[in-house]
Amino acid sequence: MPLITPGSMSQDIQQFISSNIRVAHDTWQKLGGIESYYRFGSITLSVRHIGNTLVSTVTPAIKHALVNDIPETINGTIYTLDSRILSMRKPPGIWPFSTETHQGHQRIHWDTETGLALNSDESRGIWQLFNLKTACGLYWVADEATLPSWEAGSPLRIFIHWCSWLTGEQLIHAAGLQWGNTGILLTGSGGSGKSTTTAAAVTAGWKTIGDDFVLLANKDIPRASCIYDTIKLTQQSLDKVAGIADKAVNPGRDPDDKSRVHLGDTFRQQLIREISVKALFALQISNTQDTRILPSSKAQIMTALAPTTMFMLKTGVRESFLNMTKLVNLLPCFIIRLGANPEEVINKLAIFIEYSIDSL
Amino acid sequence: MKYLVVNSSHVSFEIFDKEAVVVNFITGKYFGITGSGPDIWRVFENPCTIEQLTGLLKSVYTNITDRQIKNVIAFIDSLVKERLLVTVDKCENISIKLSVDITGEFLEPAIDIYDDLQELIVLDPVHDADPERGWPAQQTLIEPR
Repeated sequence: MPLITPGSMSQDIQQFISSNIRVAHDTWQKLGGIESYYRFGSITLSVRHIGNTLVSTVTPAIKHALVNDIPETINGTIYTLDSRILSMRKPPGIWPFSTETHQGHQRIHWDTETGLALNSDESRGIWQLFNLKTACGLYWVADEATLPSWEAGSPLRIFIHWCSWLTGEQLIHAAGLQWGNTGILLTGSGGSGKSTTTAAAVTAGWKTIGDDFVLLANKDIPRASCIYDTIKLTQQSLDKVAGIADKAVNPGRDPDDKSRVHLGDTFRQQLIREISVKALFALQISNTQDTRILPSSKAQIMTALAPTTMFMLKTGVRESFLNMTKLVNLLPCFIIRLGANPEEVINKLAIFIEYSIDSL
Repeated sequence: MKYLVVNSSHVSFEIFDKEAVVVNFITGKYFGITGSGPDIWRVFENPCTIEQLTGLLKSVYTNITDRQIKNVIAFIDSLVKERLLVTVDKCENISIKLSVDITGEFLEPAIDIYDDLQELIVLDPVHDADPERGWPAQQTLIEPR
C-alpha cells in the first residue's frame, strides 16, 4: 500500500465520507424531522434531526443560539442520525492510519484539497463527517443512550470547528468573562479552574460567553462569541461555589461525571453572545490560600492555550496554532495563581480589571 | 553529510521574545525552549549540520566554552529525540543559511517537555496500515451496521 500523507486522502475514504453524507441527505428528503437554525459568532448552522434523532443531546446546550426565522445565509448543514433510523456504511476495510489511541478507537483525518474531514470515536459509536465544499456534515451515533455526558455538554463541537474554517473564525479552549465592559479569556487545560472561576463569576454578577469553548474572531480588537450555555463542574467545585449546586440538570449523574448547569435557564442575564477581548489570563492551581495575579510571558499563555485547543480539536491544528499566535501577540497576558476561595479570585480579578486592564 | 531540519510536517512553533513554544501534534507533547535555544532553533529552520551550527556559535560567541558547546549538542540531541528535528540525508538545491541574526550573550539552551495532554491525541500518524490486520480489531468497538 502506498504511503498516504496528510492532505492526500485515498479514494476509498473520500467515497466513504461523501456517500454517507449523501445517504443522510436522501434520508432527510424521505423522512424529514426537526430542523433548527443556530447562530454562533458569524456561523449560521442548520441542524437537521433526521427522524427527530439526537434532539435531547444536541439542543439543550445551544438553544440560547436558536434563530427563529429562516436565515438568508447558512454556513453549514449538519444531519443527525442514529442506528435506529439508519445504519452507516462501513469504512474501507483497510484504513491507512493507526486508529487506536489512549482513549480507545478513533479515526481523525482531513484533506484540504478535497475539503473532506472525519472524526470518529468508534469505542463509543460516534462518527462525525464533513464536506467543506458543500458545507454538509453527518453526526451519526450508534445509540444516544450510551453517549458520554460531554456530548450533551458541548454538542457539535467538531462541526462548529469545521464550519469556522469557512467563516475565518477559530474555536478555542478557553472561558470568556466580562466585567463591566471589559472582556477577558481564561486559558488552561482541563482541570485548571476555568469552570469553577466562571461559576464563581456568574454567581457574582459577571457576564460570560461560556466556560470551556468559545469562538474567536481575530480582529484589531479580538471578539469571542458564546457557543454553549453550559458550565460543567466537579463535586469539589460545586462545594466551593455557593448557589450553583441546585441548578445542575443531572443530579443523579454517575460519580465520575461532572454536573451540568445550563446558564440559559438559570443565569439568563449573565449569558451574553459576545465579548471584546482585552486580555488573556492563564490559570494555575497554586495550593495557596491567596490569589495572585502576575504578568505573564506570551509564551506562557500560548503554552496554556494552544496545545489543549489543538489536541481537543484534532483537525486543522496548524491553522489553529497560527490563529492563536495572532491572538496572543495582540493582547496583554497575565497569570492567575488561584487561591483556595473562588469568590476571592473573582474579587481580585474585578479589581485587577478596573485598575490594570481598563487603563490600558 | 547529515543535516538536521525542523520537522515541519509534525510541528508548529512560534518564537515569542526569548522563548519558543513548539507543539508536536503527532506525539501530543509540547515544549518551551529558552536561553539561546530559540536562536539555535531558528538556525534549523533550514537544513544545517551540527558542525555548521557549532561553527556558527563559535564565530558569534568568541568566548563560548567547550562545555557550553557540549551542552548545545545535548540540547540538539533532545530536539532530535522528541522528533522536533529530523535528519535530511541529501541536501541538494537547498541553500544553507547560517545568517540567522544571533545577538546578545550566549545563554545555556534549555527545553521544558510537557506530556500532560498526550492522552488527548494521537493524530493521524503517517504510516502504512498492516495488511494482515486491516480494520483494527478492538473488543469494545461499535461498528456501523
